[in-house]
Amino acid sequence: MTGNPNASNRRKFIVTGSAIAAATTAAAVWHEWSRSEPVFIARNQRYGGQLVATIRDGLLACDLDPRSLRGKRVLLKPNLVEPSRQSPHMTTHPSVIQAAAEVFREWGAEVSVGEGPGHVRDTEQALMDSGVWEALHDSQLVFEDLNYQEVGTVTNIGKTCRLPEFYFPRAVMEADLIVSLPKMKTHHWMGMTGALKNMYGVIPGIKYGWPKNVLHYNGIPQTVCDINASVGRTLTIVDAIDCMEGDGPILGSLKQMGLMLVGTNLTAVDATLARLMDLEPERIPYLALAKERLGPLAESHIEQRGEAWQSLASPFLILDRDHLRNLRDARTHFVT
Amino acid sequence: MMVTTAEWVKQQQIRLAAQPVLGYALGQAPAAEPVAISALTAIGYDLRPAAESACKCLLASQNADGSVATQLNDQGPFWTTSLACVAWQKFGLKWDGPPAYRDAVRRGLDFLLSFGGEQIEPNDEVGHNTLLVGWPWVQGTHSWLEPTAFALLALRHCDQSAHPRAREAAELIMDRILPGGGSNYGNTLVLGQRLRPHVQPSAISLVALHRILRGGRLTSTADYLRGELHHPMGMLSLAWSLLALTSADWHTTQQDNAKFEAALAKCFERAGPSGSENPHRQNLLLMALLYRESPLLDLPEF
Repeated sequence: MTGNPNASNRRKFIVTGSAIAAATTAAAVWHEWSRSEPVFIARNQRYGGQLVATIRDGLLACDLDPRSLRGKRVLLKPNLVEPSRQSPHMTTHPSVIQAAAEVFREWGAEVSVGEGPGHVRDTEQALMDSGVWEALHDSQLVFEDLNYQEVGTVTNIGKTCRLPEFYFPRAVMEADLIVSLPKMKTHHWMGMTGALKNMYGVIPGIKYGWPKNVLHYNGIPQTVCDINASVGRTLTIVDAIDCMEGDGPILGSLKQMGLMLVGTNLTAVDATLARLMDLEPERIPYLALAKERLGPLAESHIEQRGEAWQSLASPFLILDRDHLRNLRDARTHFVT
Repeated sequence: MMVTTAEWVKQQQIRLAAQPVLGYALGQAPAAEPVAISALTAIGYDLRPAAESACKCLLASQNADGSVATQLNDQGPFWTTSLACVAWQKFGLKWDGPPAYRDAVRRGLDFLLSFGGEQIEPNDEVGHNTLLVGWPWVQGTHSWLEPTAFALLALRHCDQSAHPRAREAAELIMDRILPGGGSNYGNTLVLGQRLRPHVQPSAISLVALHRILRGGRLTSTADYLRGELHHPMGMLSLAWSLLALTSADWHTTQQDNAKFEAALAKCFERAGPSGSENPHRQNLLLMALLYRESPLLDLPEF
């Protein structure tokens, strides 16, 4: 199966007021990001609480038109990179997946869940260790194993890395909308991981390996940027309730924030996540590349909906390493 | 009603005989790893027509350079060449296979030996020996545990145990075992932190090192797997664990397979009454239930 989704009639889903022009062009001509993007933050959130209402309110606050979802294929993409029973705060909580599914189903979408864990080849085991297996069955959700499906090729729209194209699995090619459901975490190479980096999981291990070493060899910031430029329509709902700080994205410690974030522009949401962690967005390597290509980093171009981030920020511990020390001005909250 | 292991084995043989060429999930296009596992399982259960279909599928997909791609085309990656070589070799040994299989093995091995993992300058960021070559998932990238383990199995099954690359592969697999036992995808320490083991790669390490080495971290890896049997385990991880623990107990006088029944029962219960949702996983478990008679463990001392 081959093909370029840019030619597909299915990719006509439009978020009200924010057609993502860059993703529909075939050439790497970036237009300057001149408009504001909304980011919704909800506080005092907990698993098993009112997540459905929070997510619904957040999507509406970001100008999503529910009518445009009727009959559309929505793929929810949680972070299940390397689940462990010992670290439930490493992966997207199952209740967030279930709540997101309920909202999109309410609006008439056909919803499935997909993930290509980067460090674990036994996807069934990853689902079981993360608790997602039970959630899928309870909510009668189809799971798409993005690591092992038939693939199609998509031209690299971003062109910041040397890869001329990407292989995407069938479920990604067929989706009208991919919803990045990341966990808010630090990252021992990149500083942080959020909505944009979570999209590594749509890249199939059957073509790229476990880990997806081809992406590392072509530059993590570059491949994060280019995958997001090439994958088509996305929005994000961030599990920022139980988060990870320290040696993320796998071995870090729990940090409770009690937040949920929603946005239709992943770059704007990640910039907000960085600020919440007390990190400078422009100093996160993949955000620096995404700036003005995929979305805004500047506060002046991010419209805060719901809560304002300033009162919610809490410095996340990050590793005391050369490549991470400049991510914040204050020389505090580093850990060895 | 719960199915017994014996009943399950019987049902799965019927299913395998009916459809040996398959993909990673029901309804998906055939792929090399599932077809190779299917071939080996059929060989183990004397299902010659099924084994032949699977081996012929792999043969038809072998590229001019000897490689067999993961999705049975010419686009790579090609780590599944290892598993194809093992399947052809075992078929040939069991049923005096045609010359085409011997030729396919030779070409497949030549391909495998033509490349290796990219070496990385030693540094303090990772804890393993980055100069051991091994095999990568994708050509042009670093070596990782499972592709190296599969390549070692291919070399051993295909009478190349004495090859220096086989010796080095064993060394690499040992190097990637975590200090407390078990392995993950192939890192040990990253930025000073010890990583956690995972069942499947831990088990595959032991299978690849079957009858090579004993004791030390291999014993602690087996202990780790025995502990994990008490937790819910996916079918693939369970299958590899059964093979690994059979290998670990190779020299004990009495094999006690009853100890695996609890884990098997939980697995069958989760799979549901028909258990037909993932034939690839079922094939691997079916092969593992041959225990000492599994074709993958049919190896001499190293």
